[in-house]
Amino acid sequence: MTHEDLSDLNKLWQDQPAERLPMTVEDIRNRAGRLEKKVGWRNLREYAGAAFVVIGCAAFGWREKNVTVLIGAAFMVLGTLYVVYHLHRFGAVRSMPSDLGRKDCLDFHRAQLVRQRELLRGVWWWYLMPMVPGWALIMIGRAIERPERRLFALGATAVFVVTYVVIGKLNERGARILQQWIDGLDRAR
Amino acid sequence: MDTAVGQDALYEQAASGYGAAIERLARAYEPDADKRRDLVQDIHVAIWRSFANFDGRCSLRTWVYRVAHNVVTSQVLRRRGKTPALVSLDALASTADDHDGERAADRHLALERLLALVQTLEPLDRRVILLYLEDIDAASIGEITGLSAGNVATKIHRIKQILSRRFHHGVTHDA
Repeated sequence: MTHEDLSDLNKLWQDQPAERLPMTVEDIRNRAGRLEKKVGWRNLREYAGAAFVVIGCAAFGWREKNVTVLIGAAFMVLGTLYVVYHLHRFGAVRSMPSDLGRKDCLDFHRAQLVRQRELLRGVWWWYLMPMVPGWALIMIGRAIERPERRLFALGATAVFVVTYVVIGKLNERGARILQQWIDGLDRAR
Repeated sequence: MDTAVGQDALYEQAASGYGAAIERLARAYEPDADKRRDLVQDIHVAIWRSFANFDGRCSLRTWVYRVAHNVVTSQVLRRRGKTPALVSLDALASTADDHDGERAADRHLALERLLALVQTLEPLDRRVILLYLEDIDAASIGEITGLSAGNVATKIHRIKQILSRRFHHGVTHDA
């Protein structure tokens, strides 16, 4: 039997065999609990990474006699803590937001893209710049302490600056692409 | 009514009413069976959780579809760059169908082609065609997706054009 009516396609779509996974409320609660645990472990790993950097910087500064370098190491610790805090606060989605049903798809999609765009756009302020004071003080301290190695410090600073500029530009490019997507969503409405 | 009990009751109502539609939605985004099963379960968890905030300002159906599509959107965003190039309805309407000469007479073949077509669409257009295929009316599609009534009408018109052109031989039913 052949039908020309498009509603047949709707029927065809809706009649496709479904697995109908048996999910009781108890299953749902268990899965939700597992997801929360996963998020907890992920957070713990990030804190452990930050603790590793902090301990490394503290060990580096422990026997340091040069006050400028010591202050630089302290700034590096503060910079690292700020980056971790920012990533934790505004970074990857930890678990699903609870207001998923209150937002229509365009609003939700837009909000997600805006969050990611802001993260990329602000990379200079939350990721790159917090490390600059510490790095600069360590380099200046070393250059004063050992004038014969100033050229090395200059070279290391040049590599540092170039790396930062490349990271910054790549993130700005990513932010521009996301902005185009956001503009597309705004036009679609 | 106790909040937790209300949440569970709403979830059970949603799961029995829209469980199959959620599976079809997952199928339209995730070809891999295992990942699809995970996606379906994630949607169910999100729906259950969301009912803690359900305020009845929209229908249960609108709420469930919003949550389900939003979960899928966030997963699609996470794997951005790993997905093949997607097209819009407009682009699809202006391209020739590779299968023009082939008769979509077999139900299985027709369903495969329909699924393949849906999977090539950009998320925005994919949402509309999926809701259209679920027989959701235009006003509700607007409420779920956030598109204006005019835009929904235009997109549905495009969808009908594309489907009619690609499946103009119709679908043969087994029965």
